[in-house]
Amino acid sequence: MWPMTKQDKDHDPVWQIAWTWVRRQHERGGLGEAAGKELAQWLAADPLHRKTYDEAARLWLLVGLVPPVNDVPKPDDGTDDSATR
Amino acid sequence: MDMSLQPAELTLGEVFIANRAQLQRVAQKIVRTADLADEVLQDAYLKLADGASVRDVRKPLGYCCQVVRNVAFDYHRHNSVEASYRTYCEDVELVSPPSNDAPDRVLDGRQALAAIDRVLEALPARTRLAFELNRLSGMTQREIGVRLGCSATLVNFMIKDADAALESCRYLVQGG
Repeated sequence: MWPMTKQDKDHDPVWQIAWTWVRRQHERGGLGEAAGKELAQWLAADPLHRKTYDEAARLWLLVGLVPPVNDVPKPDDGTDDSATR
Repeated sequence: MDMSLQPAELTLGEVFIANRAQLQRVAQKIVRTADLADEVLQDAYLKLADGASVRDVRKPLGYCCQVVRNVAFDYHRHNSVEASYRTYCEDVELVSPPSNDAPDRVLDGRQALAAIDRVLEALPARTRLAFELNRLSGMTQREIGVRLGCSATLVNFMIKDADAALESCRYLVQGG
């Protein structure tokens, strides 16, 4: 269990920014060129940014490997193979 | 192979191998080249057992696709960042070298996935559903709201709750 009060205490702004970048990269269409540049500059600004971003990306991947408990649909992003529908 | 022809006894690995050509196409649509798609498939194959240790996978081929897709997106994401970095931040490359987020740097994939699953399991059921629709199905918050019959604002709160809970899993990926 993760009590609500714990979340505020553990809130790390750099992590939040890094997580949001990773999240945006996985949205349909991905980052545009301008946002890609912004991300690169943010990463270059501080080694802590890069380190935290790499951690967020790794956790994002791991979260995507957990088998779902719900019967969720496949993504509608063109990666699907219509032969198996 | 048609999904309806999968005998229940097939292991995930066997389903993966039987459907390798299809999984290769899923990967290649994301990473573009056949060489990278091969790498993704090898990597994904090794990760299957970790997921299977969390719980029984009801849709083996669906789960194989999920793992391949996510590993492929991670490769693509990594390569995109490195490309942007080279383009815009050449001068600082030595200060902050490109990361090597190789999968084997995660100490124990099974334990990590089980820990993440426990955190997600502690969320309200609808919050986890909203999160899975977003993370695994790639649905927008608006689309999830329509599906769940609630406002996009509420979906946004649920996703934020899940994200906040997952922040407690940082220890799983630190120190690599």
